[in-house]
Amino acid sequence: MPGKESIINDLLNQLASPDFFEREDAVRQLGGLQQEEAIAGLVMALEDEDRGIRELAAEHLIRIGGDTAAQLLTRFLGHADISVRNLAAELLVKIGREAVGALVDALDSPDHDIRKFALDILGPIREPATVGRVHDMLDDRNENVACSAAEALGLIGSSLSIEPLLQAFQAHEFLRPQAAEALGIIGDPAAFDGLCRQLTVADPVVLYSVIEGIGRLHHPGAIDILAPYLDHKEQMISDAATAAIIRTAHATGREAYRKLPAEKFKRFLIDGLSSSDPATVQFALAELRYWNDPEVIEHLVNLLQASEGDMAIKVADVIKSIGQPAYPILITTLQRAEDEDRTRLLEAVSQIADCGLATYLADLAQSTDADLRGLVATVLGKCGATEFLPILRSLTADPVGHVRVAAIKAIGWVGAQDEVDRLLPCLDDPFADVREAAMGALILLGGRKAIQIFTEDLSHINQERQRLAAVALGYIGEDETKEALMRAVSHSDPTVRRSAIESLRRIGTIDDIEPIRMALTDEDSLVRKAAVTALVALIGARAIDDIRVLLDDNDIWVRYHTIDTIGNLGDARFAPMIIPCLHDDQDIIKIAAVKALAAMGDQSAIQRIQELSTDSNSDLAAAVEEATKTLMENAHG
Amino acid sequence: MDIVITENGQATNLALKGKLDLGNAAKLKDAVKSLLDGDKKLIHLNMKEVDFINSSGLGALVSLMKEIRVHKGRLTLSNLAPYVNEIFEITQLSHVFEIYETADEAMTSYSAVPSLK
Repeated sequence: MPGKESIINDLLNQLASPDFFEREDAVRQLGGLQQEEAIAGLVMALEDEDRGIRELAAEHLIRIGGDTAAQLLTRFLGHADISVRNLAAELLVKIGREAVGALVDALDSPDHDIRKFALDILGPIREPATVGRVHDMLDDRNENVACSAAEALGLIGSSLSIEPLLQAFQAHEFLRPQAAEALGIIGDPAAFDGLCRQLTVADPVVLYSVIEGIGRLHHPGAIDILAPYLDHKEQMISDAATAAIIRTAHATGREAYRKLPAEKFKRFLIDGLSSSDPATVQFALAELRYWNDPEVIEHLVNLLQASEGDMAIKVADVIKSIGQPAYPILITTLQRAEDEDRTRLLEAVSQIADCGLATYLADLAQSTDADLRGLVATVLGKCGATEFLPILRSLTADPVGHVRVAAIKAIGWVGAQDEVDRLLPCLDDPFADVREAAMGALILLGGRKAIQIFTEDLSHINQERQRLAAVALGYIGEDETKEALMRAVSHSDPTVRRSAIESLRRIGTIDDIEPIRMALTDEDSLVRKAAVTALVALIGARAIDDIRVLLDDNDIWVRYHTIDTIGNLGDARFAPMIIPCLHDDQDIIKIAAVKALAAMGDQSAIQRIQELSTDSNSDLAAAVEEATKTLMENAHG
Repeated sequence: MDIVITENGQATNLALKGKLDLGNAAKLKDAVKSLLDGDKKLIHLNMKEVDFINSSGLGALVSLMKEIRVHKGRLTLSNLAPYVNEIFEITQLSHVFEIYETADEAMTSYSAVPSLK
């Protein structure tokens, strides 16, 4: 038997193979060894020509981590190939604190690139113990290294760095912007006086950084100190002062905004809507809700028109907060919008549940545009006020199907019990969506009247009405519906029988399960399947003696479903009744049996399952492999 | 139905357990009404342990939402069990309520504007 050293040597040689799969195999094996020599091999593999192998080696190195890996990786920070260098840097960040020792050692490297990259990595690791060594690097002979040191100190965020950064600001002109920025990122108000003393600098780039840094300290004194810069001749300085005052005011109390010229504040917020920083966008949205200003509203509506998903919901919420003054602009824009803008706007406006908007939109109920009529119905429904019922009623007779759907749903949401009779004809609508919407609304309205209608519908001349009734009674779910549903289990139509069984399962508490037990012998296979599910849902494992007979059902899908249902009970006691299914004529049944035995966790079934491992059906073989793995894992705790 | 009320940052979290039907709807309505009377208008219902809801339960939720809106508050729901989700879809109430997958996600949505760094 070869020794470990010999194995590692073989694997290291294998890394030089021209064959991709051999090299990949070597990396996998080295990753599993977790020995120092193996780490060296993995680091070597970072230079492999194939990206997949490089990434695999990286994955193992991150998992193994440790000082040895970090020491070897830091050597790559000076690598000529930028992609290898970046990968090493990325790995060191991921290794995190365990890499700190190696990175601090790298600060002594004669190669300035290695020193710089080591600092760029130490920053995101944020280890406070490194600040002393990083302070020294502020005086590095290489300017890029010194600037990286300042940036790293900002990220590490220790107040101990305030004095060294202020001294470096004085000593080295080239790193002033980075030093000021770092002081801001550290965010300790103790840096306030020191930074304010630097406001006399002439260089606008440095001044910008100093003002921005002051803004991040959230010091109440910043507002008076920075106010004179609001009118600075350089636009960038004036903008930085505005942003800094807003940051300070946001942290110290909104009343401080009064110190800002309103027009500047508004401009800041409007510009903030298109910021790449999500926090700034959210801040702008939160503040703009207090502005009743046509320009602000117009920007928000335009943003709404261009937004989707979560952003659209947030913007719509701000518009809703502004309320009445925003709605005429919103509606005018909506009427003018075209194509995708229009679709987005319709969707966004439909999210606004506000009676104020509903009042404006109500006038559009007669619009020739069906999309607008549909929107009217949706918003009126979400608003939930009964005063809009006359409009909604008229829209239930709209010539366009989706408008009728919206109006019917809306009546359900308003929750007006008196509307039950009016919704009844909608159950016979030529469009299935309208019929489904009517059923949904009637379920929501519920009550005796709806129960009576649906109970009568179980013997309606129209089969669709019978099926909808069986479904609806289940969702209404009141005690009064159970009796009708129990009767419907022996209905002449199998779709009604099945729906009734599913409804009884949903209700969950029934006194007599006999009709469902009888349904296990129903002539329709879908009814038998529904009965299996329902019986197990209603009485759990006690259903086993009833449903096991369906393991021999002549319908393959009933057998499959029964095996699956028994498997989901997760009880190894039932394994003996599933094992014969491993020898079924149909592969799909064998697969179901394998999966069920795995779900039951019956260790004794492993051998029986593995007898199928060489089956020519790849799906079956895969199921066997998966099931064996699951059972073995369970066996090992 | 059991209702456990906790204050969680800006919003009040009501963890519901059991069935939400005619028999229990009044208990939930009373709990929410007390909160509104105490000027607590940001209300979250964690439905994780609601295993059954019927038409009366849905009606109660709709009327709570309207009541909370009248008070200029906000109602969110989370953790809808598959069956509850199903009935919300059938009745399209999923388009009316603000629903989150988890209570944590819902609570985050109540948090204040992030600080500007």
